[in-house]
This record gives sequence, structure tokens and C-alpha cells, in this order.
Amino acid sequence: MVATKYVVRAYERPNGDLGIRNHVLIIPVDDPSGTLASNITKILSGTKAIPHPYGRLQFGKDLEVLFDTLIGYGSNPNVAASIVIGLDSSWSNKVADKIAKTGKPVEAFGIEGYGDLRTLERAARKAKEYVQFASELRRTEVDLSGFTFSIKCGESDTTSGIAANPALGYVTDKLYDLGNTILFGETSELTGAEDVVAERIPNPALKEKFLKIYRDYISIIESSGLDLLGSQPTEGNIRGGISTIEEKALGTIQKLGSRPIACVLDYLENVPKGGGGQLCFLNSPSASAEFVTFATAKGSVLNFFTTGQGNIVGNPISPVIKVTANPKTAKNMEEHIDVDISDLLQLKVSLMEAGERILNYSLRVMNGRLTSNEVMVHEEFSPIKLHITA
Amino acid sequence: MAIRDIISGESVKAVFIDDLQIGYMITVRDNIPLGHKFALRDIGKGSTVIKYCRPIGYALVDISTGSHVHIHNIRSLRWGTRRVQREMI
Repeated sequence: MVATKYVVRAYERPNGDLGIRNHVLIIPVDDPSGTLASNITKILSGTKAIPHPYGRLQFGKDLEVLFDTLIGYGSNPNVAASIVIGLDSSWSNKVADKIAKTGKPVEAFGIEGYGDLRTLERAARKAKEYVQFASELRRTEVDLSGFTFSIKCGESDTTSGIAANPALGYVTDKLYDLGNTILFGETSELTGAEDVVAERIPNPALKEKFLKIYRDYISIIESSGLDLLGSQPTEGNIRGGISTIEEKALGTIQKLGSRPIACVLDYLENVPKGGGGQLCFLNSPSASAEFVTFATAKGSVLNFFTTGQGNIVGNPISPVIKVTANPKTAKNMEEHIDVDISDLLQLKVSLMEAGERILNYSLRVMNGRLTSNEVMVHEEFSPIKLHITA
Repeated sequence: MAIRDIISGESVKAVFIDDLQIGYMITVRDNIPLGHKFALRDIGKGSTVIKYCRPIGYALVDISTGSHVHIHNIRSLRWGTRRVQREMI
């Protein structure tokens, strides 16, 4: 049997990366520059800004992770061009120089010595040029292969573990077999199923790397004399019927499908390129906005997100497709849900039919259909903070 | 797991999602909201509670067939232990 080929219309970037959106992104390097970044979006159409509260007096790995995230956003294939603004132009240049390696247009600005108003004029003139440049880029037909996606669940309940996540697992396998990269993470939420994940990693060194990342994370929790019983499972999880972290974890991993995990990445490592399908573990938080932000920084152009009780998270540049199998949530929070598979929970359709429904919807989104989060301007940008600032 | 809200005293059929043909009848002893669990057999105090063919915790009390299974009568084998110890002091 010949596997079905899927064709989507995507933006091919100069380095060959495939995107499904065409944003001009305004990236503030630090918190005070966020105001100017947001102001540009008020006077120019076709621009997005990602203001955030960080960037000054961070140090060590904490600062590196922030820079990596900002560089990852400018480099994300859903971005056509970017403007980097910081108080200090040398910091803006550090970020912009890395983004420039993708071959996409990028320009750095510093506010010191000019003030907001003169910087606004310089940066906005360049941004206007980029918006007009981006408006002439065209989608081309490509095989559904070589893309990077992420999978995540949030406000989970038992309908996630028993129906939505297994259906997403079907999609994960399919995207993997077609030669795409699928990113997953949620280190804390693997507790109780970390051994199941470890068994899926064929390479012994990578398996040990994964277990070390997991153990290091747990030791941070335990060194504070606490466990996460109060926050994992969350109140929402418990309302939905999840009783323990093990039950949550075993539900969570259903979305990983069944293919081997051949890639295990710590915070600062990049996703390996090329060479067919891959399923990658990212050391990452389980908090929804932080995970989606992090996965987008690692190159995800579309995020598959299952929810039980109803999560509302979005992202400024990488669409989030919300899937639920909970009939109450599908009805009560209808405006947030992109794909309703509650008929799977009611045993009216098969797992494969539900999975195909998610996949077919994602093809429409890749071709340009806006997700609920995009239309509702749910654009959370939540970079990871590893430790205290100086 | 209840795929709709179930009223105490109802008799329902429990099936496996992988094979809907295999299943048996159970009389439910509590109100079970959609998504919540009930015991498919008697679970003795201290014994392991199984879901997804794996332990998801242990029983804090004896749980009889058809009873609601949740945070009031089971605890994580991982992170719950510490708190139970604290509660016992």
C-alpha cells in the first residue's frame, strides 16, 4: 500500500525551513523596550510584537535561555522578517546576528542615545519596508514533510488521557511517518510514566540523558522540601477526575503515539535538522503558555493542544489547534475549541476517525485557515525564567 | 471511567476502549460525574489502583466495586506519600 501523500501550501524560507504564517515580528530584547515594540504594531499593519518582563541583569544560563528564545522566535519559519529593539544596541545586535543566519531580513536598533520617539521612527520605517516585502512572498505547494510541530495537553482531565491524547497520538505517528519533527516535553508531568518514556528511547546514552534531566528536575523540587502534590495534578485536573500525578502522566503520554524517541534536548540545544521523521523530548515546563512559547522558539510552526476542562492558551506567531473529547467543554467553551472529538468519548467513532479529523483540520490551518486562538488574539509569549535576576 | 454523568444505583456496562465487545455490567454506588472513575472490583486498603494497565496510586481505605475512586480514597505512590506522612504526625 502506498502511503497517502499530503500537499500543503507553505512559505519556504531562504534556509529551506517551512512556515505556515508570514509575520513581521518586533522583538524587544528587554522589558523597557517592550513599550516601543508594541507601539510599532499600533501604527503598522502586519506586525506582531512580543513584549515580556525580562532581559535586564539576568545572568548565566538564565540569560542564555532568554536570548535563545528571542533568537528562536526571529528564526521561526512562520516569521518573514524581524526587527530587534533593545535599550543597548549591542544586545540587540547579538540577537539579530543569530537570526540573520536564517537568511531572513532582520535589523537591530538601540534606544540609548536616541530615545523612544526617534527609535520608533527608524524602526517603524524599516518594519514598513519588511511588511511590504513579506506581502509579496507567496505560498508554494510542498509535501507535508520537513515541518516542525509540537504536542501538548493542558487543563487535562480523564477525557484527555482516554480519548483526545490517544487520537493525537495517531496524528503524531502519521506526521512522524511523513517525515516531520514532533516536539513534546512537560518534564514534571511525566512523573509516574518517566520509565515508559525512557523505554521508548532506543539509544542508551540518550536514555540516560533523559533520565538525568528528569532526576535533576525532581531533585530541584525535593531540595525545597516539597512535592508538587498541591499543583500537580491541578485543581482543574482534579475536578475533571484525575486523582494522581501517575494517572495524569499516563494520560499525557498517550499523545506521543508509538514511534521511537531519538532526540532528547536540554534547554539550550537545537532541534537536529533533516533526515525524516523525529520525535523529540524537550526539557520544558508543563505550564501551557511557557511550553508553547518554548516549542515555538525551537521551531514549532503549529501546536496541537488537547484539553479536557478547557485551556485557552495561544501564541503570537505559531497557531494552537485546540482539541477536546469532553462534550461539556466542547459546548461550554466552544469559541476556544478547534476540533471537537467528543463523539470518540461517546464511542460513536473510532480512534482513527477522530485522529483523521484532527489531521484534516490541521491541513486547513497549515493552508491558512485561522485557529480560534489567532482570531481571538490569544497571543501569550511567556519565556522560561530559570533563576533569580542580579 | 464515566463517559457521561452516572447516578448512584445505575447499572452500567464497563467496556475497554480498545475492544468495545469485551465488557461486563456494574452497579454504580455513588454519583459519578463525567470523567471520574469508579472501582471495577473491590480494592483493599493499601493495595495498588490500576488504570492504563499501570499503578496510578494506592487505596487509603477499602474501596468496594462501583464506588467513586478519587482523591478522597486514593493517593499517589510518588508525591502523595510525603503528605500522608505529614498528616499522620
